[in-house]
Amino acid sequence: MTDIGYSALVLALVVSVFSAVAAFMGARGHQGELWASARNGVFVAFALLTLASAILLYFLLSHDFRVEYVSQYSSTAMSLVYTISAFWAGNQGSLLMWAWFLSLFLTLAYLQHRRTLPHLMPYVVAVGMAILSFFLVLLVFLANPFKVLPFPPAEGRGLNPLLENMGMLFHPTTLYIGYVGLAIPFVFAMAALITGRLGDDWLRATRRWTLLAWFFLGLGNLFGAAWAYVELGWGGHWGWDPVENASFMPWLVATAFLHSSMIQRRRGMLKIWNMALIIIVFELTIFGTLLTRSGVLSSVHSFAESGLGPFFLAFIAVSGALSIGLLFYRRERLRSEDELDSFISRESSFLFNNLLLVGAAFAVFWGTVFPLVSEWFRGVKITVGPPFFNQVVGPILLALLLLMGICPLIGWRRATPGNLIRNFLYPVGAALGLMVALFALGVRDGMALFALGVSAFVFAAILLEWFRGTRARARTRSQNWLSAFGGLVWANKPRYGGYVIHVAIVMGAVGIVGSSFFKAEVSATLAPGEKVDIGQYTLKYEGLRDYSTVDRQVSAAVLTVYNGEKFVDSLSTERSFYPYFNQTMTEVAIRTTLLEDIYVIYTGSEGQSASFKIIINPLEVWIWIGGVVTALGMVIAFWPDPREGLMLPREAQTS
Amino acid sequence: MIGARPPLRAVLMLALAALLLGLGAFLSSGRGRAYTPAADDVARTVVCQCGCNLVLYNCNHIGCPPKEDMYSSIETQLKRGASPQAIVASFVAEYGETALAAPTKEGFNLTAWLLPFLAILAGAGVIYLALRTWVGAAVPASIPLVSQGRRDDSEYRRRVEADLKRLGGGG
Repeated sequence: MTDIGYSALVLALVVSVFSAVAAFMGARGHQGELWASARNGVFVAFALLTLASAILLYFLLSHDFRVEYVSQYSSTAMSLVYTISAFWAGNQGSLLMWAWFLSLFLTLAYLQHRRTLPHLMPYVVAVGMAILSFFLVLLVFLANPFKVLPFPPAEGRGLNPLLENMGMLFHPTTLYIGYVGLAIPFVFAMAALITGRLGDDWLRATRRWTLLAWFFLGLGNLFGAAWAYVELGWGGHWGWDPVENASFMPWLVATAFLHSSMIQRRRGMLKIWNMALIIIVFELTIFGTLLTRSGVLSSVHSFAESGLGPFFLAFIAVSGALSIGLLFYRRERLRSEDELDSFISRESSFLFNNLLLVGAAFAVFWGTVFPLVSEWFRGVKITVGPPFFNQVVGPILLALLLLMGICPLIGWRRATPGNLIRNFLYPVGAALGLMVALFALGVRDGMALFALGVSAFVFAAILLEWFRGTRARARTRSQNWLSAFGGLVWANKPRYGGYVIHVAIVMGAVGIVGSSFFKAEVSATLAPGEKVDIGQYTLKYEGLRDYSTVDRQVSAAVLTVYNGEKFVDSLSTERSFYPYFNQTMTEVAIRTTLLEDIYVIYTGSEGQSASFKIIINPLEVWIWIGGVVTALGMVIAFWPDPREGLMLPREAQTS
Repeated sequence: MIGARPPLRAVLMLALAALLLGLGAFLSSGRGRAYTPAADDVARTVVCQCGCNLVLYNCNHIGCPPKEDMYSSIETQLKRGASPQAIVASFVAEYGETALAAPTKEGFNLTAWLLPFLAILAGAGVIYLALRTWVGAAVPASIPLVSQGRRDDSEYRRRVEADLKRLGGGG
């Protein structure tokens, strides 16, 4: 069966290379049969990769430890969920998942647009299959997931205990859907550049792909943050680790692209910029894949160093050079069709939105690679950690948050002074009111006050936009407010879905500010019956409970939480020792409310005494609620609109 | 205490009781922080040398020896009156610049801090120049919408603009 799996990869590689070349030559030479053959290759490659994936999954589920990958990342002690997730736990399996997702998305994109964009599709297939070929080369020659061990072990190693968390199911998969999904607008953009069909067709055709990929990439980041919060046991959710940064950068630039593509669709402007953005997004997704596998930068997330780094670097260099070269070649035909009416307009505010998003991405990129830069230039190794990113990226993101509130208040084309005053009055009032109230309540941190004030400003601006739109609709259509609001959202789903997402961002910002600026911590060593105070709470240590499972020895510490005399909750935090990995891990105890998290880490014990680190994280849960609200906004923005189909050309298909 | 005069015995017993009560109060409240807040402040600026890549304060390895050693060194130096900067410098001397959680703000390392902001400023300049070009090339608003000989719609336009203003057009 390993031979079948490996053969499927080899065949998929042959088909992908053929398909890429044949699609290009068939289109250039108007050879319909060659193009037909190339396009069939898309389906064949998908079928072969599905077969290879199914075989690997079969090996994992049947615990066939003759396969090296299976023995490295699974064991009979693992539950079904973690056994499945072992598919992407290692370098080879995750590359196979990348390739499978890419072939799936190419197949779907082809089926979706084969009639609406027949002149683009050969080049979409050519570029897409060329990218797929690269990943298949890696799988076939350098990262074979079907390698067989000469002396198979009786039992597999299993997953690293840190990975045994439900996050293992959601975090990598959503991230990869996001990463790979962003390849689709890229291949369409390249097809547009190659064909010279530089209107909005490629943009309209890929709007939902971009939105979906952006959403999943953001979701993947959020799942990772949540996983870090509950699993790593340091009380935080984002450590500015290089691999974390590598998935944050394309998300930032994709956000810029989503906004600036609106300008192109409405005003025919920023065409060169949008092309540049999608190229940067794609290269950043490959860069992220590189960082995870090359070992060039130390990261808690990295796979073992795989030797694939130079190949990814070469791919980035070649694909970047080709795409930038194409963009340069077509630059004259990408000139803006329209002009701006005013310096102060929504269009110009979108430009600054892009500036800050790309600027933030650059700041993250620069901080991530600076250790390498320092070593190259000075021969000195340094670390660039959270204090740098908090001081550099934090203010940029805060400015972006402010702009998120300003943009909707400014009209398209031109804003008048009277308009501006009327639109800004209430949101500014809300911001100042909140800041004064917080100051009166004792908040003295200037940055925290400002950040929360900005959050109030943005939230009020969005509410004002909804209120005015609903009122106008209620009056003109004689509807009640609820119907008017529903109709307002339904009539312009992308816009109002976007506003819902903006509200979600505000929620996340409030959660980050609360947990960053108002965190309280205490460390204590307690004997059973002893107590420690933190904030308004008293935690009483009740005692230890030891037990063993198949793969670990557990020591559980139980604490009861009181608010004054009132019992609040009972929390259990654990330390587990995994003999096979010779590794000790903590399972933190978290009590979550809308106002704060009580977070308890069991850090050590001596006899029956136990040491704890106890943290109060105010407003932490709003980060996760923001994720849920983002999903709601996505559903609204993504909902099909019958009018969209009319905007794509229905050209006769070439033979 | 056997054989002591009664007043002294009373004093000693009271002292013992006070000691026991104080100790009880201290124990029942749990011993306080493992590390001092000042030590934690320093720990937020240096990286744990166990290889976790986290700042020392956040290192989550159970019983991490490098973490214990570094914190112990911090506490000892603080008790001797060393400043946080001197403590950090001692770690740099021992482990190299990788001990710092962020680059220094001097010399070549300044480029780490400044380049992002300079890039954003440069981008703002480019946007300004682009806006000047785009806005300057826009069709002037003074071109009349109504040509001679056509019906005058000014009253209609006035009513439309009034309606738009009343409905609060913001885009």
